[in-house]
Amino acid sequence: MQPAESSQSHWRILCAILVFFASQNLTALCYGQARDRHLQQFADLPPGQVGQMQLSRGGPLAGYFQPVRMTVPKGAQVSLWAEDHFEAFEANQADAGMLVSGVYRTRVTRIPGQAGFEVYPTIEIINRLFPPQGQEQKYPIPVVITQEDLERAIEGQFVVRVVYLEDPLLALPVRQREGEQRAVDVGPGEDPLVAADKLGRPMAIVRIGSRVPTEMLNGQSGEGAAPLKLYRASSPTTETKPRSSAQQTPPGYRGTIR
Amino acid sequence: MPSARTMRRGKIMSVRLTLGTLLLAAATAVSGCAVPVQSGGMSAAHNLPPAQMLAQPGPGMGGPGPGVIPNVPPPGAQMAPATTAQVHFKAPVGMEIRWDVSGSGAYDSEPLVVPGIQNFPENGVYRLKVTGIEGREDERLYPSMEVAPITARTAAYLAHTPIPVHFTEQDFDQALSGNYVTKVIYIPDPEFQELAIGGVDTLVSTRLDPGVDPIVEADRRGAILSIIRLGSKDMELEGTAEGAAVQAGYTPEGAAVGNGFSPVPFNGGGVMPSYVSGVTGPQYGHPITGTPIGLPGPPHLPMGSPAGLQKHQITNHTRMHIPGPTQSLGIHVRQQPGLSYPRPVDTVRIREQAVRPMHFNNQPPADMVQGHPGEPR
Repeated sequence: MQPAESSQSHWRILCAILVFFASQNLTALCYGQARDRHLQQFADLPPGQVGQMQLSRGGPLAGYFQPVRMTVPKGAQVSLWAEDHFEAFEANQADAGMLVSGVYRTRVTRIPGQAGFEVYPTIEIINRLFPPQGQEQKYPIPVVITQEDLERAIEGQFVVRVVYLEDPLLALPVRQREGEQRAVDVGPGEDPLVAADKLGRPMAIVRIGSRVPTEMLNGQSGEGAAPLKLYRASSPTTETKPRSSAQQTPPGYRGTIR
Repeated sequence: MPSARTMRRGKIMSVRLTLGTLLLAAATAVSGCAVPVQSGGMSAAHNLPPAQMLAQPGPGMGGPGPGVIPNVPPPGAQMAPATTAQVHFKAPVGMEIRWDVSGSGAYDSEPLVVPGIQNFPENGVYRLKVTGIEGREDERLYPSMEVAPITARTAAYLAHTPIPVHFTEQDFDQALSGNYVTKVIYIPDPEFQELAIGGVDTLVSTRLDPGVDPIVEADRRGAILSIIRLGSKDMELEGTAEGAAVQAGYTPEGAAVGNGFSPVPFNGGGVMPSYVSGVTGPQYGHPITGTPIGLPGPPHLPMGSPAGLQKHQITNHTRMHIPGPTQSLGIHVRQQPGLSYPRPVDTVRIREQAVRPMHFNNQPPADMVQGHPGEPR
């Protein structure tokens, strides 16, 4: 073999080896990207644990009362557990300030078409919004519980709703009606918190079941009794009384802070 | 000087080798059959242990991780874990269920008419009395219901949803015909949730293949909520109180006394250990019979004549190899896959670019005049 041909053959072998290792590195990267992230938080963790892990990450979360607006179907009545009793609201929605990592027990009664049944969902706040200062109550986290959720819970199913702040880049360009909250049904075996994390920033976990908290009603324990700020909507008769400017609530919201 | 044939063979081999290497590289690239490691031998993907494992400093130890200051939650912010599981007896409708509330072994509770709900403390076994079954009014059954301890996997479900319990006609048929029925209610893992209705699933021993343990199978598929065992044994058979055969042995004293309201587990609550000296069995070293190995043996009856046996000798010929205690134990743990964290950021490069307009925005001449005309400057 001539020396020139021999060196050419060596170059070919060297190039082939380089191509081989380059493909190995490329496939290794693909292998790593194909595997999903290993998430720490799931919706089926014990109530309150996700919020605790969020607090452990730091940030201005601890001690902040995040306004929440809970809405149930028209005709139904919603109550929130405050200290040692359920505080009922007049309309089908309730406004309250809830702590991040707090778990709050609620009650839905007078469910249309389900006479005699009561459902006791819980709300776990796992993150907060950052509205303009002084307008916190104008931008609450909307928690909408639909008639289908309540009927499923009465049938014995365990419904988990994760409310998330949608990513502007992934938001659907569809107008949302007042009182409506679009929901994405996840399939069996898929975690709703993980799915919500892909679509935006999870804010609250709502767990709905048919268990009656008899211990709470009998005063034996205070589960789900985190500190709560009730923003009770005033009735029209009491609204006629003029109030001082210091007591006025932000524009667009009719209520008082207890 | 090589011949022309040898030189041609050398070229062919070189081409074959190059093509073979390229084909191998292409095949591995397409199939993804690559070594999933980077330099350092760690996985290419970052892999954290599960959340429960992260909350512990190590296997077998409790508390937060090393060097972690636990976050102090606001008072009352975290939901207190429920210590009771609510059971919803759903079917058959009209059936009556009683249980023990006084700890005396009697079924002295108020009858619960199905459908109905009742709270049972976790980690206990409860004996139930079932009567008033439609079409079987004369029958009475005594199933036992074991409520599993509440775990992190089941806490959220049990805090919001009762455990659904159904008794079917087939269950009663199997039990009354002498078969032993075991029903296991469990929360399936994500890979087994396809067939689960309402988030839970039930395994019945009579529907499984022979030899398959429903408890083991349910534990493999998910987290067990409750185990119901059903047979035809009559727990209130007349004559068991007086004049019945009593087994020689130790009877635990001090049975749990209920408060007259909540169900009382008949096993004292929870899964009892098999043998605890002086607690669940005779005290070690104090044989209750004359046998030298501590096992209960037959008494020496005189058989109608004065006792003549003066001595008996039992020789143990069992081959034994019982080593002494271990002085030091080495435990080598390797978690697969390994743990990998992303490398912390050490360099940040920020490049800001302002878009310069194509024209200059000069101040209008009218705005260059300070003040209003007619006013002193």
